[in-house]
Amino acid sequence: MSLATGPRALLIAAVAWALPALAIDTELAGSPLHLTLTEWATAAYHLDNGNIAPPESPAYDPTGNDYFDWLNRLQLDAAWREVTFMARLDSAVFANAPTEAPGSTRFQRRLLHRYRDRLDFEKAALTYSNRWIDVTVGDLYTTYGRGLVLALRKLDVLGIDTTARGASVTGKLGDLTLNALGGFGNVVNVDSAIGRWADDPNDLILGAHADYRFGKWVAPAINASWVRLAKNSTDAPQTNQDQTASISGSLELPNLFNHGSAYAEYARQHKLVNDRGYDSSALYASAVLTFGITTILAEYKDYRRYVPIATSIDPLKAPELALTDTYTALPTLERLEQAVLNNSDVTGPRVRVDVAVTETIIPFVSVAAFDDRGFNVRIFDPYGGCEFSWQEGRSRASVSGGIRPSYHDAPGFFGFGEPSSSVWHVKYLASQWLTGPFSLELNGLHMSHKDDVGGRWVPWMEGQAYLSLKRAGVFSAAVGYEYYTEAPETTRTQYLNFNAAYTLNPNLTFRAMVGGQRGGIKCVNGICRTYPAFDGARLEIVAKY
Amino acid sequence: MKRVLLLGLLALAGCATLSTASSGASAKSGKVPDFELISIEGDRVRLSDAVGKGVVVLSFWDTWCEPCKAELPQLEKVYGRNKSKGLMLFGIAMDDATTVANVAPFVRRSGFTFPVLLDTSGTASNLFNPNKSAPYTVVIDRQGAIVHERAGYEPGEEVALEQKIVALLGAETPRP
Repeated sequence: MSLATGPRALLIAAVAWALPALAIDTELAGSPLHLTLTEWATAAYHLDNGNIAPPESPAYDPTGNDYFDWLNRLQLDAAWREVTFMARLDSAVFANAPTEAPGSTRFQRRLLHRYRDRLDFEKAALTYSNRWIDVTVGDLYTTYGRGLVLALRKLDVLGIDTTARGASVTGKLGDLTLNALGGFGNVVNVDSAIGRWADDPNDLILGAHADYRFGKWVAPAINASWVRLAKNSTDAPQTNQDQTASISGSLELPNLFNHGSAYAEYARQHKLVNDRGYDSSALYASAVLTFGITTILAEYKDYRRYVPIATSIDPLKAPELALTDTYTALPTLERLEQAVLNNSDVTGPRVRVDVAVTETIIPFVSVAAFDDRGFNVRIFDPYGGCEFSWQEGRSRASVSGGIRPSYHDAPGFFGFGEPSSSVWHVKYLASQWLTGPFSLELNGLHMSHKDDVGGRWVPWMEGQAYLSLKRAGVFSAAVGYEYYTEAPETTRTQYLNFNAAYTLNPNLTFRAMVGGQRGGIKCVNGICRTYPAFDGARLEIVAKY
Repeated sequence: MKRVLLLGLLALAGCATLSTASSGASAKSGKVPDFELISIEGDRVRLSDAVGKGVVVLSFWDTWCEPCKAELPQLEKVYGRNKSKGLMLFGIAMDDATTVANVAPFVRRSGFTFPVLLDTSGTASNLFNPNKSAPYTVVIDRQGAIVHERAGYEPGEEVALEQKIVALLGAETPRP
């Protein structure tokens, strides 16, 4: 292990942390100018990554132990007349970062592209907006329709944050809206979980969108995008750069006579990879219907080898970023906690029914069935639950659970029709208002898996439970227990952590965590990836000036 | 190019400090940035059409956010008690395209009467809630000044929020 800090890291830290940060309200050319500086910082000491494999084992992994990281986001926002401006500076500083022993290459793969101090001028955008036109120069966030054709999006401060750095023009002519954009792919460069980094892919992205709203009743739209990767998927010589052209048409019925809404989108995609063309299609539809106390959500997806458009980030060098950063995002129809390993060649419906028995008791049931052609399995996913509230809504509880079996579905192959896996889950939350601003909360998730591994059933479990005491607007303290038993021979199975949050004022919040958190596959909005366990201490500061 | 932009940002931050030092202002005032979103009912809603006509509250939330599910019914009650006095509440669903289908069913079965706007591209959250905190509450007075911002929700916080809103509604008179 070596100390990775130096004058460069100190400079980065100084710039990120010590920038004078105060808001201004002033005037410019007779109009108000409002500036806001938002600081978000997390500093963590990673004591242990939960790996318990013995040093002689191939699974032995000390590359996530005994290091410090400090990730910072400093964002300036300005608003003046019809003009807004934003700029964000991201920095990452690592200390005592794990390194390979001299002469060894044993952990070369695990340490590839990790723990590099960085200072990135991450995002910047200048926007002019009025009732008729929006013009943005800089980083663009845009989603067309349901994301089948283009989804340049930010999930959260530490997660996916993908933009096109270029220009966008949106014109609004009555009920007609037209948009055109062009730019180069720009992603957050450091993966916060394990400190892996990648440079911006700089893939060329072009997009166009048109929709017309016939009042609030009917809104047809067309969407198109073209992405040309800056780097091909292989080094083999080829005539054309790898590229993907996508087009979709959608029809939205926002108001079904005050009883609901409906949406349908059909997309076609043509990929050119290594000079070979691949065609695919995707259909997504949803409808919401309300009759009295009953609300029904019906969704359907039919994705035919419709693979999300990945960036040109090298999956061998930065697999976490290559997997999660995409230019499209398809609805999964699944629970957020559910690991969805194939959402590109799958068909099936989902129906959820909520019944508001009273204002305070709302049971629901959800049923889904998917034909997963990628893994040749049929999946059934029924679950249900109920939400309760009392004390005028200040206290509430929700509990839900279900079982999700899947069956081999390849005719003529061994095991056809037999179960291939199953997972059942229970999720609960209970929040009891005590008195004044005080409340007590218990929440948790338990998932129990069974996987068919070569004809042998392998059971394992994962989950967590948290108990919190809260004082509204000021502080909260929590104790958490987490467990993960999929690989007990290489990964520690149980974790305990203590959390505290303190709000000094509405613009300054501190959060701290000491202890351990489980690893495993975690999914956010249809994108799943494997996270390492974490043992250590983490401090998070959010300040808005 | 990045270095030039970085220097520009640093210069801008430096200017900001100088300006603040000279004005001594700490309250946030002035015109808030504008946006236009589509509601779950299909209506176009533009913030500037509301600002100045009452006290505006923007509540940013997601369908997968449990504290949001606790806060929104409380905001609905605050809205019911104060909308006739000039409170304008907008729920801004930050769900992206992958989960936006869950927004309307949640709103309908919860019986919310305030407008809920879809922010799938992050248009409004990028302006007011760049960290995408959920829930996140912004209160704008009749002069177009942001007078309150708050991330998160715990039971009981709606009391202080309503006191603030009532004070603003009582203290201000509508523009002609």
